[in-house]
Amino acid sequence: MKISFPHMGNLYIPLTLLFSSLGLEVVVPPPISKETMNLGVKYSPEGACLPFKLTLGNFLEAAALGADTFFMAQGYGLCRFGFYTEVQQKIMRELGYETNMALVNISQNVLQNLLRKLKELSGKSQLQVLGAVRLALVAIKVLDDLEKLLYQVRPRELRKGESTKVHQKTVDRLAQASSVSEIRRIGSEGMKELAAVGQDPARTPLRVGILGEFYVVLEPFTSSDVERRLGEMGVEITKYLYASDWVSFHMFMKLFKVFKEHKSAAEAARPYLAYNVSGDGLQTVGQTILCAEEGFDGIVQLYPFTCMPEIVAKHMLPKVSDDFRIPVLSLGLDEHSGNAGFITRLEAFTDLINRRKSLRRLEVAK
Amino acid sequence: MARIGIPRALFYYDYFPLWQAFFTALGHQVVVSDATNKGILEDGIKRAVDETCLPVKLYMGHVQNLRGRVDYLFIPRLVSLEEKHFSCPKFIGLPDMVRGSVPNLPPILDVTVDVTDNKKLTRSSLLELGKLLGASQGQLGEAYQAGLQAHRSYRARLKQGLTHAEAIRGSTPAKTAATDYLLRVALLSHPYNICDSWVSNNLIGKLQKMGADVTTADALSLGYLRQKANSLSDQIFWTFEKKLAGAAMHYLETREVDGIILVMAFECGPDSLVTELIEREVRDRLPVMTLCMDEHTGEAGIVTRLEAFVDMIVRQKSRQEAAAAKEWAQA
Repeated sequence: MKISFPHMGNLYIPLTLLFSSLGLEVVVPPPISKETMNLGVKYSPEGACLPFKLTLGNFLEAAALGADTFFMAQGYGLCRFGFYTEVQQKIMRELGYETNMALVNISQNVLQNLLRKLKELSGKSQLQVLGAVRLALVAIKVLDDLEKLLYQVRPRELRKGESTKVHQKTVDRLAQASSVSEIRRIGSEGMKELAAVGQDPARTPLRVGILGEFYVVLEPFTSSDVERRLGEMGVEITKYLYASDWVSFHMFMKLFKVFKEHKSAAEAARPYLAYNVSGDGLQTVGQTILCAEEGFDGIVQLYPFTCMPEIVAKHMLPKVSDDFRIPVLSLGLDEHSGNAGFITRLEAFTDLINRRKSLRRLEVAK
Repeated sequence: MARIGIPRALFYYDYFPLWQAFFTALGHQVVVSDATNKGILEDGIKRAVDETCLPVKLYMGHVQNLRGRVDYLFIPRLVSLEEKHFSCPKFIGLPDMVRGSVPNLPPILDVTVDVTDNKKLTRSSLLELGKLLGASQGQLGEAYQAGLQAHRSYRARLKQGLTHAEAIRGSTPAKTAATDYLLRVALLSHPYNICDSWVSNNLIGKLQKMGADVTTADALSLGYLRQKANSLSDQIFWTFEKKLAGAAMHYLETREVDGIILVMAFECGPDSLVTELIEREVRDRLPVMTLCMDEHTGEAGIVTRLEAFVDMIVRQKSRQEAAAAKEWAQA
């Protein structure tokens, strides 16, 4: 069996660790490229959302490299995502691939479902499976911590692009690691190197919250790398969606019935949106309010074009933006998104919030 | 007595008789928005987020049509109508989306139904609604029963083959089994896509004029449809799409119809995947066509495609008949 999975940011590192430490042969799909997108778009229903098309592109490219089993999540009560694999499987079959899906239901009991599936795939003992999961979780946490630091350093760096390089170097080293101690060591070295990047202490960057749909927030290809672009325009971004948070909530907190995820965001959203609409719609509305109260300069909402939960959120965002006086830029992403249009809008948005900030400062000075 | 406004859109076509009986039994007057017209659609487009599907835009238009004419708007939040099955996120957020997009509205009565995560909500939100309208628990219970009864007889009328509009009017089937049609077509879609004749460009009427006998998924029983859907996929967790999948599998098996037309709204999330799955399953075995509609859909394009589809089936049928006649003659 050659196992593969779709890309989502740097998630291929923990997933590779997970499967290879269980003795499974892993085929990492080629990094998402224009070709991946074209391939996915060609065989997907046209009305499907971008993550559907890109993940299908990943599967097709990995299958060409010999992958025969695809690891993926599914489940009821999610948005369309929960139903992807049913259609993707059918498309692959009709194209003549005899590939299988290794599916984990993430509607409930995520940890149990994952462990069961891994045992079934690898034939290893519960203990070995738990060890592999732990390895992957450590890697996820280290990667997320590095990213959070990167977002702070980038807008303050003296030489444009340096922090990105330093961060990427650590990520590449992590991709070669194979034990918990090694991952932790590379992680802490990487954190130190990032912190040592030359920064301008006098700079006070604009603060922007990146909200929206999980996949496009985590996969920079979809948004022409909006985080890096904003960072290099001197904006400190804060993300609220991290694989590590998702894991700790869905695998552990829910297990122990500690329902804490996004609770404050849900409460803040209540006057505008009173019910979970699946996906991240509720959090987008609530977190916009929390960011405004925290003094953020603006919000960027990223979502795949036609994303149902985010479109629900988009109905309330103009009102929230008015009531809490926070600028919101909503960017719907699909296979037609072009770089140039994207950059122009980001520049206009940063100019706007920059001007707004200096006007406010003047007012205060008066 | 309060005037309760019900927008003639979305699940109006699924539940209006229930709601009407419920509010009438409580002694209130039910006001339905006007039939869709250009103004209603334009009002809706102006207020809804531009990327929303046409049915939601239309709903926003109907809400505005009721403004100033009613004391309350009834906009239920249908989250989950059967266990582990859900509505589209836009249905779940509907009352909030209306509040967020349309200003100066009368108070909204929202009843939440979520049988998967919170069964008690239906009761508690009904009680809250009762309090708002000054109804006692006993009155609520009676009205609830009246609603259910109206719903059952509505479903029965649909099963007799009445269209949604006829069944809502309450007419008894004047239609005896039609025999003078050229072909039978199943129109599979959310009722709100095909029953609003303005939005659907009178799809049903056009098909009938071309000599087609038209049937919809609502002519079959829900329990049967749910069970049938599993033979296509046991993972469909949207109540409405499951119905369509079940109907498609039913027709595939029974060959009661000569072809299937799937109608979906552009931007519809669940349909974008389930329709694809149905089409891929059906297309080699039964003529099938998908019509995707939005506010830019022109009548001419629809007519051309319908004519081509009908012509194809009629031609196929006459060839088959000729072949059968020849065989019979030779024998």
